[in-house]
Amino acid sequence: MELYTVESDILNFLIKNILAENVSITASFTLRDIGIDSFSIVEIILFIERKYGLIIPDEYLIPDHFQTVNHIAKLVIQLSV
Amino acid sequence: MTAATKSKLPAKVYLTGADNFYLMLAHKSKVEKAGHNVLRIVFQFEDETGVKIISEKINQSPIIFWFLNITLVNRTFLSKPHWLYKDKGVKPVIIEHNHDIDKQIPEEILNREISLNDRLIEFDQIKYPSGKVGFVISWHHIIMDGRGSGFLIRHLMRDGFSDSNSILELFPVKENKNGLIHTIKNMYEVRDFVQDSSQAPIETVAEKNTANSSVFKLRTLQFTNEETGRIDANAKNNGARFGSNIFQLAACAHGIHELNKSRGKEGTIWLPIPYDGRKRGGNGPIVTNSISFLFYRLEIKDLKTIKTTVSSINKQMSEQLRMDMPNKYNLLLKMMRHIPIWLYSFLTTYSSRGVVASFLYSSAGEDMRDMNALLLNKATDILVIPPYIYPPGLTFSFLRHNNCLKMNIAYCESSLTNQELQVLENGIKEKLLQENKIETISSDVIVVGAGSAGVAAALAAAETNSVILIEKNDYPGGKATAAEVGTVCGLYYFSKSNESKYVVGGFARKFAEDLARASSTYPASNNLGLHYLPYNIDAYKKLCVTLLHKANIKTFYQTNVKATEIVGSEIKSILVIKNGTEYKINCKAIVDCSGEAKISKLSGLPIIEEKNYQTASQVFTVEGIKEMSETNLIMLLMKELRAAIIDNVADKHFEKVYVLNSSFKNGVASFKLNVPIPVTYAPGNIDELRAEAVKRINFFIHHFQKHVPAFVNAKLKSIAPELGIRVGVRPVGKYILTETDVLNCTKFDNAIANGAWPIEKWGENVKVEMHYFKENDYYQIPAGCLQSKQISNLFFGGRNISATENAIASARVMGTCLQTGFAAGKMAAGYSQNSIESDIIKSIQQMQIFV
Repeated sequence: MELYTVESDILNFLIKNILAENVSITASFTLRDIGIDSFSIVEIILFIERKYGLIIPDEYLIPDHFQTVNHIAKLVIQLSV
Repeated sequence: MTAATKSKLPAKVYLTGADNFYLMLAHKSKVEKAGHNVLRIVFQFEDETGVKIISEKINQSPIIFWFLNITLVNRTFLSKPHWLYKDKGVKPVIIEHNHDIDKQIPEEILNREISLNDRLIEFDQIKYPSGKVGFVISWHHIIMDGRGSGFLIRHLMRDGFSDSNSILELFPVKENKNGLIHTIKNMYEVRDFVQDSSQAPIETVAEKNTANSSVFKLRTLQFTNEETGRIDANAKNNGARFGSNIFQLAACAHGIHELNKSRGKEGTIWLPIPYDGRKRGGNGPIVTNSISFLFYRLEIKDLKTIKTTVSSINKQMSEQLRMDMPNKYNLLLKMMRHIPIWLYSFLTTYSSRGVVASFLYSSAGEDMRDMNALLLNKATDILVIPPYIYPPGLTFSFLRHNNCLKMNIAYCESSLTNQELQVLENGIKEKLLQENKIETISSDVIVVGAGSAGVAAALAAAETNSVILIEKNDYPGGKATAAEVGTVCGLYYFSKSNESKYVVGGFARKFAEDLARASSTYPASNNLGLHYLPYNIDAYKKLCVTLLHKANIKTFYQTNVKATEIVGSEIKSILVIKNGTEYKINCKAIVDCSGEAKISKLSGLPIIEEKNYQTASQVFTVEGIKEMSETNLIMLLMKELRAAIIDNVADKHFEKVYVLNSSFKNGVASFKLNVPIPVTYAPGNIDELRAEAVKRINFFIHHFQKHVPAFVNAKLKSIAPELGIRVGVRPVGKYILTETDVLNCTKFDNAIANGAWPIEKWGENVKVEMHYFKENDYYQIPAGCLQSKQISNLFFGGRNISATENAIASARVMGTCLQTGFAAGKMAAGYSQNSIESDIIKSIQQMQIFV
């Protein structure tokens, strides 16, 4: 699985389901700065868990680990190995 | 009545158990020519219209038709006694009588027996020369008890009675069949019950060998409205719980005691306790007797004063409930259905085997208000005439009509002489109407409610004046302790900065600092810019207790305010009740920190009400959670709940479950969940909310134990004693704080508090609604929000200051309550010392708002 593919999957999910229409985003944006709150982060987590059939370990559920799309994508790659 | 309705009537109905007792009495009365088994309800009307309404209903009623067309099939060797219904076409007959004296019931009706082989329900209409009319419904006690009669009238008068489904509600539910082992187990339980409850025989009013008369006598004591009020007050003052019933019963026992003394037979008395086996709150069944009797024993020492009697009954009541006596008694009755009538008779009356009371007592149809409403308020009087049942040959019954208590004494002629009746009557009346002495105390300032605001108010006023603090719980802190709120909000500026900067000064700030020290906590903030102080619940309680004690404030715990006395434009005194004892407290000024405008409501002053209030929350604590950081726990919680909602395992309201800030330590965390039922303050609403909260907590725990490894060993540790009700009614003050004031950060010349929490509204929506004002700013609350518009010595603090729904959604937080409470206490103290208002306000400003 390519890091790039995972990033664009998450970005597409964000654009489609969470972000307001005129907000642009890249994988390196700090999510909190563009108004993504912890409720939305939980949505992203559930999205990737279900899409890639993996489970993020409970002890990994700390907001700092979900600062950017890039952070999250890396985590997905790491967990799928 | 249609043929279809008739066909829905049950063909076979078994007796429930208690009615076997009446069957036995019917049998005895035949043999011994004593006893009386007819229950009557009497309506008095100004003219014929009321009678027309009721007789029309009777003629159309399927249930009356059923009563007239049933036959008792007595027990055979194998079958239980039951009623067999067959449409024989017997219809109700209303017999007409004439009588000279208004309201009196002709002897021919009173002394008429009802045979089990004939019509079981009879109707009489009595015409008086004045044009007034009486109407009597009489029935054999075996088909229906006193409370059943109330249900019957309600069913008769309500439309929809002809609905065939509702008919079935009036009949006993089918009994479950139990296995042999179960039956044997029951037999042992029943044996134990009989051994526990049976004692040596006691004196009954009419003794076995003296009664040879079936002449029915009735004496009615009518109490006025004022006397009824005094009886209710006496009941409370003497410690009667659950209304006045137990007090009335205790007074009857004293009457009997006087009678026994006059007969030289002073001794132990058995009190019958009507135990209603019907489902609580349910309206049925009416057919057959559901009320049975348990007994309490009163020895001479218990009859020293009415208070000792009430206390003994209370104690025995708790004891019986603890021992599960009502259920065991039910078991006994169920078994009684399966034994032959002669054995039943032997078991219930043979000396020392069963128990017979000194007298019987019925509170059937205590309140006739709604019954009369069904008669379009046409009835000028309603009376329930109980049978006297021999032995004991004497029955008391109480009922209320138009807020006046009425007491009936039904007895057989041979059991009481006229003089003895007088002794009995006087004995009862003396106890019921005894002069009510209320202890009066005085204080400069009364503070109602010992929550954050109330404690602040009491401490503020106590700096210069005497103070009495009234609290409904048995500890201070209000929602901070009882609902375990867990964080103090409103102390610091709204700011994205990490530093928590106080927006309040004076008492509120000092209190917060002491609380933080005692709890070992520090101010915390979130990324939205909200700053708050987490605290420990016990530390909060302890701090309040210590401060109140140091200031020498007399605190009445477990005390409720019952009434206020207003003279001119001032409240002169309030009436409070603590453990059943009333106190009158005189005051110069009063501060209402009840959170629900209690004083204004009791005084009939205008209040700001809403149809629904903000939703309530419930805090609960879970132990045995795996160690992790609190942020980790929060995210884990959010993820698991969100997944459960998406998978339709949990409803959307579970999104509103939170970890209380900084509560997670050593595997123990407190959570808060929102209860998605509207808060209306209607009767029963709080119980309903609480039940829903508990249901949700149980679901939460089970779900997490099952699905989240970190919760495998988790257990519910506690549930906060009270719901977190955020907002209640508010009084109308000289000024009403508005949403605009809050959002524009309005400042006032006569400000007494600074508000810094955004408008936080919890409603039906899944997410909380927040409305913020400018960062690093605050709004102010003017003194007018704390002063009653009508009453010059009434002040408000805390959640019930004068504010609109949206404004109070900000000003309700503890940091603000501490300030408004303190200011209200100072203003009340100043008022009681005749100080100049502007000077008081200035000094409050110096103390707490110029930070």
